Amino acid sequence: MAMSSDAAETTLLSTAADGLRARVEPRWVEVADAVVSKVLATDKPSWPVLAQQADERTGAGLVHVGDRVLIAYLRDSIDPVPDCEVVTIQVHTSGDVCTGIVITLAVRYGTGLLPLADQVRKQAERRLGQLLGPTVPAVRVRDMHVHVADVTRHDPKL
Amino acid sequence: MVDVQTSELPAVRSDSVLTRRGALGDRAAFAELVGRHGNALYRYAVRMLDGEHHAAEDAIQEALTKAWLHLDGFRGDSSVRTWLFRLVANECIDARRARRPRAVDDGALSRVTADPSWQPEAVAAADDLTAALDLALHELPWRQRASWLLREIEGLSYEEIAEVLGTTVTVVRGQLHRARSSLAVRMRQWR
Repeated sequence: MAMSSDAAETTLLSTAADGLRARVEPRWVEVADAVVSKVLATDKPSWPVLAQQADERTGAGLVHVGDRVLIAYLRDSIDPVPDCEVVTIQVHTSGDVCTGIVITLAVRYGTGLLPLADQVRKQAERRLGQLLGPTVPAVRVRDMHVHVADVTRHDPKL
Repeated sequence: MVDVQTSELPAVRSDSVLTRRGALGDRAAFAELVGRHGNALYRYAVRMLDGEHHAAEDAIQEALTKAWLHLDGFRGDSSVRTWLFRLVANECIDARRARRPRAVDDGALSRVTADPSWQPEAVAAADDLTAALDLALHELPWRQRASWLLREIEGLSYEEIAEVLGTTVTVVRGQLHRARSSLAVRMRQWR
């Protein structure tokens, strides 16, 4: 039986659409890496966090670290902790002095939350000490809040 | 037959995890997200900008820069793919406005059923059916073109298309109906 005209057009259009959908854009393949590099070279606005006070005796000036740098390194430090994934990290400041960190996590169902929170806090405190040095006042474990925002049945890192 | 254990397959991270990590400064995660959706975004942009590759590259770069800067503001109300398409669609609209400041009445254009400049033999000489479709798409008004591409090629739902184009589902349905009719006419000429 001959195919109706409308059905033939629909098939033709559908075949053409399949071809377009399957197509890898050659120009995108050429420029993708360059485009991504340019995008990632764009600086995100960042809030300065004091890492070193000025010292008149030694002539040392202030040293600040951007809060986005802290966030990126803190995430990196928590990454190896299994069965959890960082959702957000907030750096609290008073002026430019770090006063606390809030880490929000997604956790795999069945994980012991308190030991996990302790592990995350310790990792974060260690990394914060490396980045900011001995802060005054010190940002200690009690100033770091770990908030479990989500519980997943699968690996929250995926 | 080779039996591949699931556990041996490389883990694939979801878009939401990559977005979350990108918001926390993970550049590799953002690059992975772009690697996953970049081809589709580019495919859309270059067709909305009448095949102008440089304009499409600029639009993609601007859109991705905005995505990179505002990832931490993405609340997940839509999928990240839909959000990226919206950013690209907005850049395409801006580029089209800059190029052709006069508004075009979609309705008036869609009433034109036969374009006297249409040359079936020229289309027949095109490399393949996909090239013919590209030519047909270029003749559609941009809202129809956008709706058709997002639905038929990128597989977005009507609601997602409405969000990307900043319009309503009813309008999307209308645009899609007209786009399908116009493309059917064009493809009939190609056949």
